[in-house]
Amino acid sequence: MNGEALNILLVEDNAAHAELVMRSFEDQAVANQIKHVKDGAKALDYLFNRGLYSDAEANPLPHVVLLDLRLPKIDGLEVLKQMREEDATKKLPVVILTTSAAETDTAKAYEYHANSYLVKPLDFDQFSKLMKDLGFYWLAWNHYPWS
Amino acid sequence: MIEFKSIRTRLVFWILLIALVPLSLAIITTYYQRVEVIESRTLEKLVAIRDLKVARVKDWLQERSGDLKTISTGIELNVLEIINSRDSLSTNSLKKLEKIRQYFMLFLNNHKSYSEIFIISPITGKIVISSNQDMEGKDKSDDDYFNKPLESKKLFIQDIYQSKTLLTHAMAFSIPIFCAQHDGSHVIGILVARIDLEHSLYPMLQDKVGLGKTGETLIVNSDVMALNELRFYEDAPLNLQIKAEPAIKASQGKSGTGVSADYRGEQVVAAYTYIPRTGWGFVSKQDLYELRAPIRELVWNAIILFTIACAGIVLVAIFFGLKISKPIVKMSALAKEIAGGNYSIRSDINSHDEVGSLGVAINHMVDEIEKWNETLKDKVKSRTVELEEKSSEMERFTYTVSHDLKSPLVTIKGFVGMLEKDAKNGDLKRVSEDAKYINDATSTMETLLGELLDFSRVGRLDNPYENIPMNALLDEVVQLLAGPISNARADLHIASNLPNAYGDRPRIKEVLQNLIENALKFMGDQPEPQIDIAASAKEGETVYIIKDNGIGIDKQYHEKVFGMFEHLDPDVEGTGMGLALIKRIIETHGGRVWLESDGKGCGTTAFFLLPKEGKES
Repeated sequence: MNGEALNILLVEDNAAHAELVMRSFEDQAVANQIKHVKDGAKALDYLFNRGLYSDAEANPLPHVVLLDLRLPKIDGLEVLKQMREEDATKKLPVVILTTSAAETDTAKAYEYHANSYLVKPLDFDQFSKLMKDLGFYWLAWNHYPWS
Repeated sequence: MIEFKSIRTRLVFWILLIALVPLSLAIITTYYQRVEVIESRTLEKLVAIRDLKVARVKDWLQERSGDLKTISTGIELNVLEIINSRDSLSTNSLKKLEKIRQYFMLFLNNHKSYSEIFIISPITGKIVISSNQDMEGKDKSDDDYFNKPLESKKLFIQDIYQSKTLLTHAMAFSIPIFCAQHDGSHVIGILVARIDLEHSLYPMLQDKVGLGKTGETLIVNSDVMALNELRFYEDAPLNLQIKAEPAIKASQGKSGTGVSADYRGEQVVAAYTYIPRTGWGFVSKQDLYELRAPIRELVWNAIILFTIACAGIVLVAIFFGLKISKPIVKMSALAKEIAGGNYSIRSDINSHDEVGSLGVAINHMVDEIEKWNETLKDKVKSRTVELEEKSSEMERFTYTVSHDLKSPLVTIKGFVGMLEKDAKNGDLKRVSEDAKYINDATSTMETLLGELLDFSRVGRLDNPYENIPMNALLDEVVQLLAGPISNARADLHIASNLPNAYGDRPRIKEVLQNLIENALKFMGDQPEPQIDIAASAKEGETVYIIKDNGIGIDKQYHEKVFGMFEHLDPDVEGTGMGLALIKRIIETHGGRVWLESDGKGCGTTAFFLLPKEGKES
């Protein structure tokens, strides 16, 4: 996948957090493209090409979904669950990115086959490093089922 | 006291005791009475037989003595002549001799007691005349029946003895014949009469009438030798010396009765006496074993009766024991079952006695237990549900709090980092953006903390409940929200005469304010915003209704919106605590709050229900 841009779907209701994530990715060495949606319903619409996102060409499946858990309308875990029930998104890598370190959340997320579970670090340097590593990891190292 | 393992055993024991002790006593008493009666009757009988026989023996002896005396006096003169002319008998003498002999023989024929009568000469000691002619001339000078009467000049009874001449037992009576011509003391001959024991004395003794199968009479001489034939000893006369007590006593001259061993060693009842004339002891006796035969029969009957009675009593006792103990055993099993936790079981004993009423009491008790158990179960269930709700609410609370409070911190820290970087790069536009993010996050945090505090106070720091005139309260709220209402250009219509609410006035005010604010907030691009406030009173509760014609809300979110920090639109201002707070306040009042909406663009109706005074839980 080298040479290609990393497509990310960022599902994040907190505008400030989304801004932080996106700015961290701006400094990345790897090419990337981030699509940001603010709630669970929109995330599912995008992934399943429904409603506003019915154009499959314009709204392709990302390489990886960065999913917050506490989301308006449809909760992050519910989004994950519905993704795993659809053939198109069943194998799509999902990285949970949340402020919650609660055990129940972690357990549930893995139960619904989350590929990774990350807790947003408070420290700015760590936050930046995590985003950098994340981008690099998913672009440079990770093998995808469809490639 | 004896311990019984079951009622049946106890009953068997006591009934046996009560029934068998008197029965045994009766049997034992009867036994001894019968033994006594039989023994005393036997003794009476034996005494009677003894006395009768002894009298007969005595009479017999007397008769024999009389016989001899008669004979001796009638023949004395003829005898004298014969004796004196012994050596050369004249024809006259021979005639006389023959005449006497004829007389003797005639006498023998008439009297069965005698076997032989003869006269012995006192001078020669030889038989002069005999009913048995062969015996004449035989020397009898050594025999007692010759010497004793010669000496004593009186009648002599030769006791039963072993005769050498007859080779059998014999008895003899002898008497001196006195000469009438002289002074009457001169003995001219000895008259001897030999007794035929078989035909005289013995039949008398061997007569066993009234003596049963074992009874007999016997005579003994002074040496306690048996003199007559015995029932259980062959050839007893003069061969058997009897060592039995009655015979010894009788021979010693005593009379009496008693129970003792006889010559065989057999226990007998005996009556004995002494016959002075001959020096004989007389005993009449009968075996105790034979006498006791009817008693043995009685004992056997008693044993059979006793056994039948025992069996009957045991059967009856077992029957009644079972009858009594069966329901009790059943009841005990029932009680065990109930103790084990089976409260659906009931006693089916419907007798009218104590056991029956125990069954009724137990059934009643189990009914009560079952009822209480059910109540308790229900209570535990509802309390558990309540606790689970509380617990999960608590969990949700801490979870959301930690999550949502952390969120602005991430923002602040992140943008402080960004700010530093942007400042270094001299990107002033970004610096001011960063500062705004930081500022907003701080404000959010402040609001969150305030609302959390407010939220946590609900149910903890409440004002006393009162009757709230809702129209007046709504007037206050409308005044408070005058700005937002006019900004939204909303038309607010409040029904007159709203029913009073009962509760915490400031909290209810908060609820109204929040709901109206929400309605205003989600008006969307409605050209004619309208809010209607009404109420409907039911029995015991009032439902207040706040209806708007705003953007409406999808059915799937009707419940979710009441969660903490839940907001459907990230772009609309707010922390998501408003509805959560309302829910908490109304639930603290024992009421309910819910939303109704036909979906997007159809407006929203909020309902909250409050119990009337005295109805809150």
